[in-house]
This record gives sequence, structure tokens and C-alpha cells, in this order.
Amino acid sequence: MSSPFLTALMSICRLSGLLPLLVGTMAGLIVGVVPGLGSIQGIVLLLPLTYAMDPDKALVMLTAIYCASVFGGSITAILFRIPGTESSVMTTIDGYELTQKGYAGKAIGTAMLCSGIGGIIGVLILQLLAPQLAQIALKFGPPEYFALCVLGLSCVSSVGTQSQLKAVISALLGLFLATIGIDPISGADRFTFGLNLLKSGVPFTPAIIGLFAISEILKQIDKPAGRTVGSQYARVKVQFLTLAELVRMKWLILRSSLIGTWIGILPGVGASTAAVIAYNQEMRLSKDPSKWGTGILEGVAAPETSNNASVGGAMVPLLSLGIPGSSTAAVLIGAFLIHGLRPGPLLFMTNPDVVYSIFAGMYMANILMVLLSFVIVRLVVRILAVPYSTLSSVIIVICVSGAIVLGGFSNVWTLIVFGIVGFFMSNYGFPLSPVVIALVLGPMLEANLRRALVMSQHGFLGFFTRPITAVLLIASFLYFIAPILNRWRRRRMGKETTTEA
Amino acid sequence: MGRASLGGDEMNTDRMIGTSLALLSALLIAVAQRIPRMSFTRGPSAGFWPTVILTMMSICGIALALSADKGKQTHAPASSKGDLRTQKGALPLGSPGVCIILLLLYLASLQVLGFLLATVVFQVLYLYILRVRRAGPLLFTPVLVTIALFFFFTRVVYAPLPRGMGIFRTLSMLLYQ
Repeated sequence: MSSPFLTALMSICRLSGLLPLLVGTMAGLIVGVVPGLGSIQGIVLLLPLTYAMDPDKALVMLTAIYCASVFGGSITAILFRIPGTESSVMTTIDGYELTQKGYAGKAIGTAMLCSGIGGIIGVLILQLLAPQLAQIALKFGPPEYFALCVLGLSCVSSVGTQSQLKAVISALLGLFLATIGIDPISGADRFTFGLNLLKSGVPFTPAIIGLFAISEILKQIDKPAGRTVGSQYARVKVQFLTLAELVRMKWLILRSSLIGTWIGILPGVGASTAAVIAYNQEMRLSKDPSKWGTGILEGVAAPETSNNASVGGAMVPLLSLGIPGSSTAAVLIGAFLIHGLRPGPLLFMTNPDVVYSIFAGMYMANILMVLLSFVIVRLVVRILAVPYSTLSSVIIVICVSGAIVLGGFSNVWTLIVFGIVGFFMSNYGFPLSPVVIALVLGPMLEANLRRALVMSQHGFLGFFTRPITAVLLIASFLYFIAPILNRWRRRRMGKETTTEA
Repeated sequence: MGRASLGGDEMNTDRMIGTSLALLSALLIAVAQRIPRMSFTRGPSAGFWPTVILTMMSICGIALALSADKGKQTHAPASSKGDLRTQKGALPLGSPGVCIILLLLYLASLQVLGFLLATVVFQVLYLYILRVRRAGPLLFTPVLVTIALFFFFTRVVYAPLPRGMGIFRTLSMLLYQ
């Protein structure tokens, strides 16, 4: 490691550097935990506090918020099935199932450790390869983005359900919901039916909170009175992965980190997409994909590693080219400008101390995030001892308040409508996670498909003239039909065995 | 709701859902076809992608209805951990249907009563429906939670919450000062 980096690291470790780092990390965890708040709100709220600070300390604090908030959302995702941030949506799938099985502490410990490792690997790649990776990322065009989205959607036939047909229907529903609103390319109204509140589309965060949290509450109140969410979970103790488990998952963690970092580098694609792609990939590569979605540690490790690694990735184009890799990075550009800095290739030459401080701060933030999480988790876990009747009423009003904060009263209707829809979908065997995956990827998929078709002179065949796109599309097709073929083959073998008998 | 279904009920439900889905998708395809195509844009129109999705959805709806007819059980079996009516003496916490109605009434009243009053009333009624009778959880908890949320969102996050109309607005404004 170079000496400017060590100098920056030592500066961070002094009280004057540690205090903003601590404040940023704790603030990030808190905004991550509260549904309706996220890294953007955390950065915007604390930005005024940084006016009087040195630029390096200010940016360390703000990037610490970013790092910690991505993980913070997973705490409520695992314990209450409420994704605190968009990036923790995939963690909800296996994380909450683990809580139901009595492994809440293990799930949280896994999320903490994997988030820390993923975040550190992301920063390492950022520090070592930022300029080179940024140049490669610029080669990704609309066809590649489209193919990436298709790859992310190809997992829906296997996620959390025994009925692939119903999973596909759920995904199609999500894709359809993503089309509601004003078309971003032509400006035409689509399925708004004259309602102003639909013109900006289906708001994503209230929709997923409704789908997961509100529907779960409606399901749970159909159970015996007086019970707590987990009176047996009231003594939840955070348990990290054992060394054996860590060694077993070493390749999963490494792959998810690389996927997350790369997805984070791509402009316009954020932590939620990174979590989806990593989850999808690891499920494909696992020996028993059918276990994913039923509550396994790998189902928490993959998305958590990936979403935190994407933070480092999002800083690559920001620092090297001045292009934000995510919406939070876009807000950080404002912070740079406020402090008289211009992110881009010249930043490394004119203000290397700031750049290295950001690197050092992000390393430390990922470590502090794991340590401070113990405090947050202990506070949050006490809530589990509360009777479910009281707890569910508090959850509902917090979700409603968060929805109002996010975008006004119309978001509350979205929250409740999706909660009711999610309840009935779950009751009739339609999985919810494909809806969410499709809501995340749908807008990007459609926009890039249409841009690619405009660019292409050969229509759809043009996708296969680009090697990266062709590979991703073929892989997606194989991933999608593999579970269907497996099922057909198993049924056929079952019939043949019966005939022989 | 939440009850484990018999095979015949599941097939009927799947058939109904599949048929409804196919019909609704067909209707929405007709709506999508009427989305105007802007003359200044090249490539697929705004209605292209929704038409593709809705066509696939209608095919899947027909497939669901037909698979129900063939007697294939596509409905995932109800989770045994959720089906607690089979436990002797166990009573459900409440009724999801009643809670849905209460939620909708809460939303409708937020703009009229304001966040403070509507949230307290909602929580009290919700807890009462879930058979909470002790005064502490029933009365004090809603008030404390509502006030805590109010101060957090208005004083820390600086996000406005609904203030209500008329006399309720006047009462809410007392706390905003």
C-alpha cells in the first residue's frame, strides 16, 4: 500500500477522523434500518453538518453513510421481512425464512460478516483498478444492459416456489407494473387511466414494503393470539459464520463481491440489481438450487456480499470519470462540489489526499459497520419480545409514515394496495420475490431493449452480433429452462420407473 | 384465509385465477394498443413492451387454467407452520379481512383527522380487534408510538405529515409550533 494511503489511514484513526466516521456509520445503519429512509436521505440530512468540516473528513463521513446504509436495511429484512432499503430485498427471501426457523442470530451474523467482506473487497478493487475498470464499463451499451437484466430475471423460474408457472406469472406482473406511468422515451401515458398519482409510475419502495411487510402482517394475524414474533428469538445472539462455513462459502463470497463490484461500476445500476444478479448466479451454481428461498445461509451471504461490494464499484466511475455509478453516488457528486472538489480523473492529481482518505474511510467504515451493528441489532432484537399484536401495529404505522416521507400520501395507498395484493398472492401460491425482481429490473430492461433496437440495424438479431450480449442472453435462456427441463426429466423418470415396476 | 385448502378448491381457484388473468390481460392489451405512437421517436412504440408482457401473461393465465383442469396441483401446499387452526384450543390473533378494512379506513381518515389523531385511533382499534384488553398496551402504547414517530419525522427528518382538516388541523398545528 502506498504511503499516501497509510498517511490517510492514520489520519482517519485519530479522534478528529474517527468521530465523523463513527457518526456517518451509525447514521447509515439507522437510516438503513428505518423503512422509507436510505442512503440518499442520510447523506442529504447530514450534508449541512459537513460545511464546516475539512473536505476529506466530510467525504469520509458521507461515504460511511453510504456503506453502512446498504447493510442496515438487512437487519429488518431478516427479522421482520421489511427490507429497510431496496438493496436488502433479496436478503428478505432467505433471511426471514431463517428467522422463522430460529436462526435469526446466525442470519444477521452472516449478513454482517459478508457485508463487511464484500464492502472491503469492493474498496480494494476501487483502489487498485478504478481508472481501468471505468474504461471497460463505458463499453457496456444498451444491448449489454438489456442482456444483464434478462440474466437477472432468468432466476424467477426457481425462486421460492414449487410452481414455476406461478413464479413466471408473478414476474410478468412485476414487469407489467413497471410499465405503468409516463414512458421515459416517448412521454406517452401508459395505464394511468387519467390518475395523476400513477403518472410517475409505481413507487418502488412503498410497493416492496407493502408486498413483504404488510402482507406478512396480514398473514401472521391469522395465527394464535398472544404470541410474539419469536418469543424464542428474544434472546437472539448474533453468530458469525464459523471458519468451516466461511471456507465452504469462500468462492460464493468472492464471486458475489466481484459481481457486486462490477454491477456497481456500471452507471445507473445500483446495489439492488447487484443483489439480484448475485443471488441468481449463486443459486445457479449451487449443488441444490431448490433449497434457495427456503432459508439457507448462502441466500443471505450472496446478496449481502454483493450489495456492499457494489458501493465500492459505484465509486469507480464517480472518482475516475465524474459519472455516478448509482443514485447515491449522484448525490455524493453534490457533496464534492459543495467542498470545492470536482470528481473525475484530475481529482487523483489535484487532491490525492482526499481520494486516499475516501479509500481509507471506506475500509474503516466496513469494519466499524460490523462492530456497531451489534449495538443496533441488540436494540432491534428487543423489539422481538413485544407481543405481535403491538409489534404489528407499530410496524404498520412506521411503514405508513415512511411511505409518506418518501413521496407523499399516494405512496401510502401503494403500500396498502400492494400489501393486500401480496397477502392474496401468498395465499394462492404466487411467490412475491419474482414481482420484486421484475420491478427492480423491468424499467432498465425495457429502456435498454428499446434503445438497443433503435441502435441496431438488424432488429433482434443485432443482439447476437455483440459477444457479451450474446453470451448473457444464451446463458439466461439456459438458466430459465433448466429447472423446467429438470422437472420434466424427473417426472419422465418417475413414469418409467412405475412402468418397469 | 390462511386455511389449508383441499385439492378441489385449489384447482377451482387456479382455474378462476388463470381465466381472470387471461381475460384481464386481453383487455389491457387492447388498452396498450391505443397508446399513441409519437412521430419523433424511432424503434418500438410505448405500447410494444406492455403488449409483449401482457401477451405472455395471458398465455400463462390460459396455461394455469388448463393445468387446473388437467388436475395438476400447481398450488404450493399450505405451510404447516401457518395452519394453526388444527392446534387444539388455538384461536387466530385476528381476522385479516377486518384488518384490511381498518387499514383502508385509516388511510381514508389520515387526510381528514391528521396523522396524530388518525394513527392513535387506528392503533387502538387495531389492538382491540386483535383482542388486546390491557390498558397499557391498548391506550398508552399507541399514544407514545405516535408521538415518537411524529417528532422523529417532523423534527429530525423534517418531513411533513398529514395535518388534517378543520378543527383537527388546528389541533395538529399546536404540536407543529
